[in-house]
Amino acid sequence: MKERELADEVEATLSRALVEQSLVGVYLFDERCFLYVNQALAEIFGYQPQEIIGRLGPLDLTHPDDRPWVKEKIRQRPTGELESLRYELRGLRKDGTTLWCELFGRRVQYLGRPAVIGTLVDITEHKEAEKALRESEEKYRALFEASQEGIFVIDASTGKAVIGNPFLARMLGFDSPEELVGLDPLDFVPEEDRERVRRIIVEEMFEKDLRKVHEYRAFTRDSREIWVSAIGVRINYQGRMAGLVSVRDITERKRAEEALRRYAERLRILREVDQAILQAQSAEAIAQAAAEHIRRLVPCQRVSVVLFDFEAGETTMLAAHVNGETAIGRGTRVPLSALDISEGLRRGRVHMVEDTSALPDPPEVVRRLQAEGIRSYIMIPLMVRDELIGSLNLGATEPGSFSQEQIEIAREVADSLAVAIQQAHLHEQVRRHAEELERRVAERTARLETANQELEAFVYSVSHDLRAPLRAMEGFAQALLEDYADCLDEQGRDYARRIVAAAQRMDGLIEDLLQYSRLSRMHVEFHPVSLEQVISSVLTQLEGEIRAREAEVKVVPPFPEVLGHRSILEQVLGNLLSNALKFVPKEVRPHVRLWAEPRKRWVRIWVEDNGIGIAPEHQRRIFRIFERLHGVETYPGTGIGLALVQKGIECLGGRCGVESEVGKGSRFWVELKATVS
Amino acid sequence: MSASRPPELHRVILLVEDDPNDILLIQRAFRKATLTTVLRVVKDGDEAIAYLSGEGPYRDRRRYPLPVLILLDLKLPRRSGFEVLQWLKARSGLRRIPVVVLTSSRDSPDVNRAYDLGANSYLVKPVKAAELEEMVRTMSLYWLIFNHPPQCHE
Repeated sequence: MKERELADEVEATLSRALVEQSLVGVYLFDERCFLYVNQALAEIFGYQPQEIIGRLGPLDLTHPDDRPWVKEKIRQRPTGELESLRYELRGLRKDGTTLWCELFGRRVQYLGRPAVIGTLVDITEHKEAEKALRESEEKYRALFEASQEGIFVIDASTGKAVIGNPFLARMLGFDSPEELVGLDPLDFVPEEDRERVRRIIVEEMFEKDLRKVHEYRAFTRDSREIWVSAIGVRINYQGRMAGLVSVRDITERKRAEEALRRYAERLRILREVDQAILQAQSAEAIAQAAAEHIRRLVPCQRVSVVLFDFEAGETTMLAAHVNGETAIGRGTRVPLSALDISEGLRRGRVHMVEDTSALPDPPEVVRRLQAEGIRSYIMIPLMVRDELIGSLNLGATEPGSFSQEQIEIAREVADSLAVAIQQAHLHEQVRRHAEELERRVAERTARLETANQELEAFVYSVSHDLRAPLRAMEGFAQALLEDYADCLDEQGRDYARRIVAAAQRMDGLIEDLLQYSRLSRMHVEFHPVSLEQVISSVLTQLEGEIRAREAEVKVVPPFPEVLGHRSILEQVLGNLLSNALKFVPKEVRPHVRLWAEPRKRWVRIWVEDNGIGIAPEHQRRIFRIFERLHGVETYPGTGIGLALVQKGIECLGGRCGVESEVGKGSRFWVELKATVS
Repeated sequence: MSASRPPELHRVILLVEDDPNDILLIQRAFRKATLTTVLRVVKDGDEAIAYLSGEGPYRDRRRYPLPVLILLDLKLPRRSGFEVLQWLKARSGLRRIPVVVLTSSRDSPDVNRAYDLGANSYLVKPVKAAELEEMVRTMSLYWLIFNHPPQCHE
């Protein structure tokens, strides 16, 4: 009995302690109000227990919006419909704030009346956290759903997708993302790539988490080929190791890249063709290069380049690139009639035969092609300035092998080829022309040289052969005069004298002519010449003459150094001085003055005399060969002296002239280059 | 050679010249120069060599003694003056004989070649007779009077 009492006591105490001390709210209410609440529950609602017990009912602690259905719940229990309930509701605190509770209630009988007893926990924080989580989840879910990139998660151990987003589903041809779950990504990759992709998934993503972007070829559910770029990140998904993979559809880009690459390749090959052209090799080499190159751009079994010669009525195959053996190869010559040259081709249009077996009456060459298996071909005209010069032909064993794009490409090559062949031909022509010209020039030079040599030999023998009879004439006439003077009368002696004079004059003429011709033929090399030395040498040569005429020659320094040729200068100055001494009036003593006038880069040498002067109208004539203004009786001379002067000065790159008036003497001048001072 | 004969009287100048006019004129010039030398004339290169070798009629060295001076024209029929010169200078005894080239060419290649071959002097025949006389006189004076002759033998 005591034991039982003790037990009851303990139980009651414990219960009370439990209830009183519990952190969980405990309550008891009947249809009127709360009969009991513990401290915890009161605190949850911000009351003291005594404020609630006997005063408030459950609905007072319920949020107004939830009151209707809580009321219903309450009703359900005491009436016996529901034994116990556990649910969540919004509570109302004393200060009017809302909280979330989770409560458990059970129907009981208390003091003979139906009541509910239960527990209540404040789950506001929990609820808030839940809300935040849900909001966050929604946020992420929205991103996941709306993303314009495919995203999926692949489980590390199963290797299968556990979730994918709608974009990925659409990308792969599925209706909904749910269909993605459980699929193996490797199934979407071509068989030959599977091993590589598997290795990327396992090693790069799961083992090393490298996070590298890769590009893959993939097949959608309806077997369309697409290109994707994907990057995977190792994550922890729901407690398991997984990979989060982001996938982008790059099919468009890849296609564009491919097209660009093809185009670049096309350009590159065209450039190679053009470069072969620029090297201006023979037409054959150019055609062969083009034929080889175009096969890289347009797949076919046969390429040939043919030239048409409409005048000769035949065609020549310049180059051919063929699979296997052919009877119609490089160098084949075929009459034009054996070919199929349509009017359209002549005007620059491509001629295409899609199926040779469909032709009713093929020309001979086509029949030969057929025999070698060619079923379709295109002929691209090679046009130069609207003239058809040949064709670029492509042949294939399959009918209808050539697309519009390929025809375009072939046309581009053909255009370059036409220009190149034309250029090669022109080059050849030019080369041959140049060779011919060179040959002719060489011939002419050789002839000139021979002529020159002949002239030299002529001049040489003239000087020898003409002089011998001269010597005889002069010598014997003189001998007559001297040894047989007494046998001759005055007339006879006069005749003899004339013979002598004539011979001497002729000698002078020959000498001058020889000098003149020597000057013309000379290769003059310039060197610095001291004018003083030249003048002194000339004076020495003319010493006899000067003394005989009692002439006065004044040489006025300074005389700068000039660029010239010593012996020519001696001749020039010698002639001028000799003239100055000669052409004076009778009985007048010649006065000659020599001086030099520097004129920038030139030196002008003056020879002034007190002679008879020269009228202006004659001043040009006298420099010409054989021009004389006086009879030989008055002033002896051959008429070459001044011509020699002019020729000599010309050879030295200078000029000469005269200033004179009749009766007032003359001032002759020659201009020479000064040596660089 | 015996010392009794006066040396001047037997001095011979050999003139190698083909042009008959020139021969006459040169002989006249020598006459007018009143030299006591004897002028022997040969009309081509072969004869010149025959004279100097003492072949044929020229074996008689009393009539045709070795010359003390040779006047050599370059333009000769058969052997040319250059060839005679070359021949002469190759003979050990004869090559000392002074050679004066007397020719119409004043071309420097000829001049230089003559000197290369060993000529002692080069004179160009003047057209004027008076000049020829002056030249002969001066030349003889120089080579026969002033110049010391070498000893020569065949």
